[in-house]
Amino acid sequence: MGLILPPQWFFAPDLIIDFFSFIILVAFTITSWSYYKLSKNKSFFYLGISFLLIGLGEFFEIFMNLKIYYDLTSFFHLGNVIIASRATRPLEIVNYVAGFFYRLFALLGFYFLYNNSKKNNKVSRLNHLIVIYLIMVLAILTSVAFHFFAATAALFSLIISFNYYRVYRKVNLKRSLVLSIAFIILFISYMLLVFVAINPATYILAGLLQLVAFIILLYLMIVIFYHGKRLKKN
Amino acid sequence: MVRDSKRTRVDIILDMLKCISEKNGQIKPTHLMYKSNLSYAQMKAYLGEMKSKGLVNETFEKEKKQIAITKKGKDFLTSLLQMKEFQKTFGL
Repeated sequence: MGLILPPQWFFAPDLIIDFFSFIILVAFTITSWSYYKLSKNKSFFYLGISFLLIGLGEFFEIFMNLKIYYDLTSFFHLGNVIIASRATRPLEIVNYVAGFFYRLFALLGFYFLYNNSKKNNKVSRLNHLIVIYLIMVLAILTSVAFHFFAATAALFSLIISFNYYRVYRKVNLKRSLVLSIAFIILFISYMLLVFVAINPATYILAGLLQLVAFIILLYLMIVIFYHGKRLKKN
Repeated sequence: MVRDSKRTRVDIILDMLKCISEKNGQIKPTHLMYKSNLSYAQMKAYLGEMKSKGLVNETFEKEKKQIAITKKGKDFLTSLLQMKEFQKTFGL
């Protein structure tokens, strides 16, 4: 599978969606880290690491897309002669390196989040090393088979969503259900990316669903802060 | 304020600040001790720490000692409540 590209009109919205997601992930990272410093509870630390890794993945995706979209936009404006001499080689290198880090950090982040969200999160270091090694291999190999990366990210999202649904069932807190819904939407978004080679229109739908999932996460953060303040008043 | 599991240090400080806040911002030390389920020695140790950090201060009303929550203490209580909400949402 070569480059997966949306229609040219979706270049800017795609970058905006990724940037918005990145900001939300940074906000969750900072919040988790500040709560770790406050309570010394390691769960907050690992949650922060998870969001940081997914955020780094998002950063590399933005970087990769910026370069690709810029080069392709130049190509669209300047014609075939320019693309042959200027854009193809950097495209390949940037796509490979940034794409590798995007896939690596995103999957590592999902793996950490999965570990953090499950009931019994005691896993031996050796198990962690094996999974991290497999994720690295997957990040390398999926440069030519993007759909396997999307399928793995979808699987992680689904399991994380299920784990948060279990939290909701246990504590009966609607916010945990909202969190679970956000990850189900991310799951659908990644599943659509699996089929992007068959129909490129799924890329746009996947992007829009990603936006919805991150808007829900933003809403969740606002509700948590508001509820904390309201509790104090009561 | 009884919980199922063992309270952490942060949980105890949260409970103490909540107790003071619920009593219009000031409370008698004995009431605070009973309401936050602490022994005298524990309460003394926690109050010492909270006073040194400027979260509470001692006031006297009709020659009786009262523990009052400060502005910094109120802000800290808000942060702790938000942290607890965050923790519950993620099931941490």
